[in-house]
Amino acid sequence: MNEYVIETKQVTKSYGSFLALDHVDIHVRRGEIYGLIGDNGAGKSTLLKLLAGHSYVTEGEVRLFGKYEEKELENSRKKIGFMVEQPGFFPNMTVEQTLNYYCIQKGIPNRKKVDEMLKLTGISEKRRSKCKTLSLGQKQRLGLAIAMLGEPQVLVLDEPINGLDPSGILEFRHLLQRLNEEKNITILLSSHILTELQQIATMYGFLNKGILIEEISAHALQEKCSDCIEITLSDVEKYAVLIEKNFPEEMYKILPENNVRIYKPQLQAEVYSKLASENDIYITGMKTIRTSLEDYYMELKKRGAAR
Amino acid sequence: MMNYIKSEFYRVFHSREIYCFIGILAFLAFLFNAILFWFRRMDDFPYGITSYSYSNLVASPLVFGVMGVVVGMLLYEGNRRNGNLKNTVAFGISRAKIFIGECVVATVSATISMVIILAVYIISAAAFLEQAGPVTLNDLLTEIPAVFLIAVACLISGIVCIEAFGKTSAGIIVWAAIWMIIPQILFYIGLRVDILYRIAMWMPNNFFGTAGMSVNMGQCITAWGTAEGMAKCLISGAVGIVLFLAAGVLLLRKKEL
Repeated sequence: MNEYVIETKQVTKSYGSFLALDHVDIHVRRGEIYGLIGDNGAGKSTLLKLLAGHSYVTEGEVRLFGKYEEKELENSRKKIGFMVEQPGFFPNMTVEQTLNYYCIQKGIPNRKKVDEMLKLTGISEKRRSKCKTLSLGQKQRLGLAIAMLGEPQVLVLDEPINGLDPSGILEFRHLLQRLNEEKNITILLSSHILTELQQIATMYGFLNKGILIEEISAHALQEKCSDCIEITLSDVEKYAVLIEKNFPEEMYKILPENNVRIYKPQLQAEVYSKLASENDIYITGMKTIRTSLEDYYMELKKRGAAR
Repeated sequence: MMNYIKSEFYRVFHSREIYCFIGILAFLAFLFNAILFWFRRMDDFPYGITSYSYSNLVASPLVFGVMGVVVGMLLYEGNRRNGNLKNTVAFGISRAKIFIGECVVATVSATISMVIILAVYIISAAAFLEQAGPVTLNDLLTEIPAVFLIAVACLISGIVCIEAFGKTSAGIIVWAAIWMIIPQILFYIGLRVDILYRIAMWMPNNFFGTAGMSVNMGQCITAWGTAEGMAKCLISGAVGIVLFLAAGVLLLRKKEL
């Protein structure tokens, strides 16, 4: 069986002279929650549209469950629930009618599924409301309910928390985690809200101006975004020599204004302060800094732009 | 594709558009005959007869085509704007199947609408008006099979136009150009170029026009009145259906959503 449920190989998409995606390779394994990160216009929605079949690649290949022929892709999409860009509904139909409509379309005979989805996405009380009267957040929930019909093995969600209120975001996050853990549903979701993705993603893909600048697991990213200690001292040169001598494994950097930064410290903070005090170096300040996903992303973007 | 067609029927019969369309046109059909009846009672009014009432439909067979397009547009003009087509494509249904499904659903819906509206029209005419004049119920009833395939071709081309051009207004203009303006131009050029005249006379706008029919208060010569004429109507409609289905599949197959 193929290792990846979703895979793109050197996918390029251009609209006239505008290159929306440039040789993108993404790899989504079964059971993962894959966070696609990028600014507005980075190419996230374009990539998801290609996966959903809404548009076609200019170059390269999209593989779903290892299949890449057009007919096979159509069949593979039956196992995937998509919610790309604004969820689409018929404005004059009710929420319940909309779900019934898509149940028939997906060949789901059991209408109990509609009740289940309404309950799961928290819009049961809106079942008789017309779609045009729903708030943005309710529309997102209905979009998820449609995507969830037919028990998909994979969910592809484009900016799913757009329009949700804080409690809605929390509920939505728990729902996705539950679906992933209990039903082993693989989830690919895009967002530009990094802190939100950070809480659920197990794998990340960073897109910038149509280029996938990095694909990294949450574990590896956590290592890269680990703490550092910044110490303000009376004599930084002397302290640097002491670190070289006593802790040759440590990575450090001398910063302006008598600061030394120790990256990924392997020892307790007290050990570093003791080293200074035992050698007559005065510490005037000490703090632990955590490199956030945002910092990491901004650094990646800079590197990407410099390429 | 069957699931898509079933879901579309569910949508059509759970939306009010088709009911409004049937209701308004049936009411107008009834009102038209009721007005003729009313005028006939008031004074010496020559148009209070079934012939005049039926001639409105018999003299303008393309009305059925226009009504077909209206049904097609009513059902599918918001498809792209609402984004529901995106869901269907993402469910793994190909664009070609979606397009053919739309044509089937719109044809069945339009046929049901036509049967109901025509029934109201004929019954109200027969009930209110005097049975007289050259245009008979038989002319109207034989018009239905003659014009049916052409109306279906009109409907399919209407769906192709609105889906391919995105904007309804642009779709209507292109549709009108295909069915009315281009045949008319070909007809005029055909007055000088024989081959073009023969081609133009296979186009419904021309053989249903003054060059092919004469329906008025004095006589009723229809394009489908002879076996040859009926065959021409059926062949023209069948060719239209095949052409516009092929055009739709080709144009919409790779259309970006």
